[in-house]
Order: sequence, then C-alpha cells, then structure tokens
Amino acid sequence: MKLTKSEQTYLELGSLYESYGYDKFLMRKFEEYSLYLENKNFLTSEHILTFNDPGGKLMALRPDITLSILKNAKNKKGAQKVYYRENVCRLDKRSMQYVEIEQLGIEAVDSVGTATLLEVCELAKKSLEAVDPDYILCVSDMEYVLGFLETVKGMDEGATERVMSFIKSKNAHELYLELTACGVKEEYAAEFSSLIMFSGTNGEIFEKAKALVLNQRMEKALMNIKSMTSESAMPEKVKVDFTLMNDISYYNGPVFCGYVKKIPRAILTGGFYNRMAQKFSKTCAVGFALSLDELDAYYGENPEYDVDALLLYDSEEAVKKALRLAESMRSTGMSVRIEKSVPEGIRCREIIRVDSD
Amino acid sequence: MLNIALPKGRLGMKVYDMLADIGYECPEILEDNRKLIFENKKNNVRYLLVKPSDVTIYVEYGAADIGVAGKDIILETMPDVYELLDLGFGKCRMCVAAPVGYREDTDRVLRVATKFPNIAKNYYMSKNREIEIIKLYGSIEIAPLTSLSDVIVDIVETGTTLKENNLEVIESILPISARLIANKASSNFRADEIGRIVSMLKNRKNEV
Repeated sequence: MKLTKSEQTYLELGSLYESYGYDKFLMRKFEEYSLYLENKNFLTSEHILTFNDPGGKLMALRPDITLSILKNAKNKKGAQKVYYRENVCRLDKRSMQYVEIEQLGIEAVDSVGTATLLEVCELAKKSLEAVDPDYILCVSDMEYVLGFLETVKGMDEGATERVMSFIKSKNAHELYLELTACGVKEEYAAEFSSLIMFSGTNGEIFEKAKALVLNQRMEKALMNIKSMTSESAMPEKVKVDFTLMNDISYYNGPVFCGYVKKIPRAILTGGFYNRMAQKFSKTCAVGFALSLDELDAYYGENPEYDVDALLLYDSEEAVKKALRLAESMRSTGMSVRIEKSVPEGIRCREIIRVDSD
Repeated sequence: MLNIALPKGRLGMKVYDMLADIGYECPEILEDNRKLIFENKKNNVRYLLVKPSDVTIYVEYGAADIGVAGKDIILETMPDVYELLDLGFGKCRMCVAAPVGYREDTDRVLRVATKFPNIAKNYYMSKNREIEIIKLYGSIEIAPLTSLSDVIVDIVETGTTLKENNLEVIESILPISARLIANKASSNFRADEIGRIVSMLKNRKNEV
C-alpha cells in the first residue's frame, strides 16, 4: 500500500520523537466541557461541540490536545515528555462549519532549562524538514515585546490589545501611531515599529533589537532568541520574527511557528505555556503541534491511473479465468480490478477482456 | 513568479501604476478586454484582478503573495495576513449615519443596517450598546428612510450620497485607506523581494 504524505510523516516523526525519549500518548476523543470552559482563552475558538453523556455530564469533542495532556500530567511527579497523533474538532472561521484537524505534536512538561528549549527547537526543525527540506522556522520570545510594553505607562487594556494586534499583523504604521499616542518617544516608537517589519539577517535583527533593550526582561528574551538561532544546526532555516505573539494569559517565553514551501500558512505552531502549566500545578511546559491535515492536499501525489489493469469478463464461465489471470498479475506487483463492464470514470493503464474460450 | 491580487476597478489600476513604476510592469493589463490574469514573464510577475472584497482571501490562502485591500475589508474579514503598508490613497471614513435631525432612543435596541456587520458589532460593543444588525449588500442609505433600520454603518467618501438622501454622519468610527497585504508564508519565503517592494512603495509614497 502506498502511504500518504501525512502517514509517511507520522511514521518518520513518531520514530524521531521516540529516539528523543518522548512516549506516545493516546487520549480519549472527548473531555468534560468544564476543562475548556475554565480555560477558554487558551483555545483558538470558543465554539466547542458538546453532548451529554448518559449520566447527564456535559462533554465536549476535544478542541485542543495540550489541555488534556496537562490534565493527565497534573498528578504525576517529575518531567514528562510525550508525543501524540490526534484529531481535534474546531470551528472553521471561514465556512462556519466544524472540522476535524489531525495534529502530530510533542509536549514537554516540567522539563526546565535551555536544553529543553533547544531540543524542542531542533525537533520543530526536524519535523518541518520531514515534510519539506524547503522550510522556515520562525522564532521569538514573547518576553521581549512584553518587557517593552511594561515600560509604557499610559497604556490601557484596549491600547495593549491594539498594539498586540498591530504587532501580529506587521502593521508598523499603525503600531507607531498607537505607541506615540501612549507616550512612547517618537524615535523609539519608530525604531520599535521598524523592528517588527525588518527582513534582514538574524544578526542584523539581533543588533537592531539589542539597541532597543530597556530592561532585563527584554535582555533575557533576546538571549533566548540568540540561543535558538545561533546554536542551531541549520541557522539559515531559522528566522527571528517578533510578530509571533500568543495569548499572554497562558503563553510566555519562547514561541515558534513553521512554514513549508508549498503550504500558504503555518503548519507548525508552539511555544512555552508556563502560565497555563501553573494552573495544573506544574512549573513549565513547552510543545508544538504540526498540522497533518494539509500535507496530503499540498504534497499528495495524484496518480495517473486508479488501477494498472481492468479485467472485463463477458460471461460467468470467464470469471474463473479472470480470477486466475488477476491473481497472477497481482503477484508481479500490479493492481488489478475485475468487472463485467467498465466502471464510470475509472482510469486504468490497460483493459483486458477475458472471454470464456 | 510573484502573484499580486489587485482589486478590479479604479483603485486596482492606481496600484498597478505604482507597481509598474517600481519594476513590475505588465502592459497587457491596460488592454481593454475581460481577462482576469495577466502575466509578464520578463518581470516575473502575475496580476490577478479580483473583486475588492476577495483580495484578502486570495492572499490569505496563498493564491496571491501580496495584494491591496481597503482597511474596511481587512477589519471586516480579519484575514490571517500581514498588513505591510498604508498606501495613503482610497481614503474615506467608516461612519454611522442617520436621517438629518435623528435623535437616538437609548431605551431600546438600536437597529443598524450595514454591509460591515463585524465592524458595526465591534464598534457598538466598545460602547456597550445593544444593537440588531441588519446585513445588506448595497443601497444602504435606503434602510433608515424606509424604517428598516435606525442608522447605517457605511463608508463615507465625500458625503454626497448621504446628503442627497437626506442623511448625515452622526459618528465617525475610523479612517479607511488602501493597504498592502501579504501572505504570511510568502513573506517568509520571499522576504527580500516583498521587503524591497514595501520599501520602494514607501519611498514613492513619501515623494508624492
């Protein structure tokens, strides 16, 4: 059987994650709804498919994997490293229909230190490479932007939201206006705004960002970014991108996002979500998810033929002959289909008519 | 080949002129025909002429690497794209308008007719005002005149249409202009080229 791109990727990456000591984690398809209700900001959408179990408990078709892993890890001691291949059920914002999305990912809970950061980055890169050697992993540390924002005194909740939105969309012109309206000096606002747009080398971005450091939080973040880019086996595949910002109620620290050449959107997202982990009595957690769904659509092969040979028998007497012929052809590696007449729309390399004579 | 989605019509042609000036010329686009895709292999560029409200979709889904869309469309559809530059033209305002002399009854739900339900919803949510949205696809000005709605939320350029229909602006929501947007993956894989375009368009804008 020919494996699809998503199946090949899963097999390759499953072995890779296991070679790094990650255990396969299998979970139920549904969870109690309360888990998502209590952590709804962590989810990409508030729309969750629910149902009542026979006991009357409100259950939900899982819209997220990370929460289930944290819930499972809550009462376990020590560091845990797991990988998974699971489906999540989410509302597609364009079609406004629920869709099942297949994800392959890893999570490292309570495994602290630079080693984990670099290991997860390395695995993210290898995961993208398994899909397509032409990939880019964007990295950042949210603390850099958050460290800057804490220095801006005149910023209310609405302004913070707008600033975050302008950063995420690389909207430097409106970011500049918002920052100056909040009292940031024009020169600094202009430099900071141009930093999020800057498309130079990592070294150039790093120098530009270094000049804008205002506190230890920003400095530490920059060190993390430097580690992720410079201590990498393939530094040219890693790009610094300060627009990577996840929900600050849950995420903090390093974040990453990966692209492959043929897919027009990020297929890998992840980062540290220590704030979320702390809600489950853990100190830190990091992980990423790779979307397997789109791989077959963009990397799938469309074979020229559905089947190598189509055997057409003209009478009941010819059936045995057709079956024998098909079997011998299959033994040579061909795919063979037997029919009485040509099925509509079939594409076959050759049609062989088997008669009773 | 760089794929560029342009809005059909006057705005699209203005953007094309700017892009042609900075090296992305494709003279075929100026011919009077019904073609929607124009390619210039020499300049390594392909233009897609699409409905203005579809530009964001073409860019978000990667059929186009970059495109030009109004801020109104961007705010309404919230596409997952980068908004790289305010091109500084196609300027107008998103406004609330009502019949001349209208006085709002704050004791009941406000009926708002609009082509931009998300912008209207977010605006009134920021004011904590309960509204009923009536989504229309055109001739919005008729809605308050026929008691279909109390007010409208729409784009106002000169205000002539409002005036001729005995309406006036009662609140200004935000300024609108044309924006250069880019697909996120393309922005990474073609960072140098897109960065160069942004920089050249910015310089050209500053010169005007």
